[in-house]
Amino acid sequence: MATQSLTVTASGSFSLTDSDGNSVFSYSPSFTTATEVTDSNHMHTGEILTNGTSATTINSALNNKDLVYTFIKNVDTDYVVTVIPDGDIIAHLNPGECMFSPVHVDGAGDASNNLDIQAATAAQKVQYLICDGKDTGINTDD
Amino acid sequence: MAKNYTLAVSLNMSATTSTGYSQSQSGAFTLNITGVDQIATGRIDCATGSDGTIMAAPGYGKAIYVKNLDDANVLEVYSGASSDNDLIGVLKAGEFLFVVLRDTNTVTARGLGGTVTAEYFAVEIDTNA
Repeated sequence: MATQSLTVTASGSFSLTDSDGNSVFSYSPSFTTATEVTDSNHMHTGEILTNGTSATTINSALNNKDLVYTFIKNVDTDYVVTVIPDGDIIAHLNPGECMFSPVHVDGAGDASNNLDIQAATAAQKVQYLICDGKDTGINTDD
Repeated sequence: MAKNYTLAVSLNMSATTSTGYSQSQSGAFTLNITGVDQIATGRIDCATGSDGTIMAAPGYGKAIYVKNLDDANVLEVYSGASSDNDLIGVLKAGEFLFVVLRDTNTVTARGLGGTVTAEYFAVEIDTNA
């Protein structure tokens, strides 16, 4: 039986500076997951124009709804884009902004399937990378 | 006089299969923040079964970074109380998340399977950021 084997690496750099030029904090986290076969089916990237201001699904039916490593960037110029797994809002991204999170789409164990994006006012373009991760086994209220 | 701030952000994610197929995405941006009164940063122990508060309710929104410093247990991160159905991310040992949320919810986290130490910052943002 064939299997899919996936590895994710994420890194970031965050620094806050005040108006006098003083550094308030600086963080540079990174991690690489173990190579996982369990729950691994699909990793995909792309650029999509939202369906007007309607919720637009970007995950696939094959993605593991219990854990998908998710990078999303608003690459348009006009309006905020909201990131909505399982009907809950986890980010509001202005043009040029991006996010990263290991997302639990099926938070309530209620067979929620969709990781959606939704633009305000008019359609916007979004880039994304979504990769399955191994289920943590949680079954929270969301 | 209250100070103004600049938050510089850079994010990268790559995914690879055992066949060598690889995809990646990255982004970078800055937020210029004025007129805010809450910058929270540090480390907090998040117990199992109760919410640890990362940030009290902001006036308009926030930029959030949380990293799970534990070597085994999972950390759940919420915008709002954990009963309010806004799970931002589920962090395994060593993993982190970063999001921007333009809402007035508190930010909370809780460990699963044991107390988890979280490293975090939560910067309040204003309407112009």
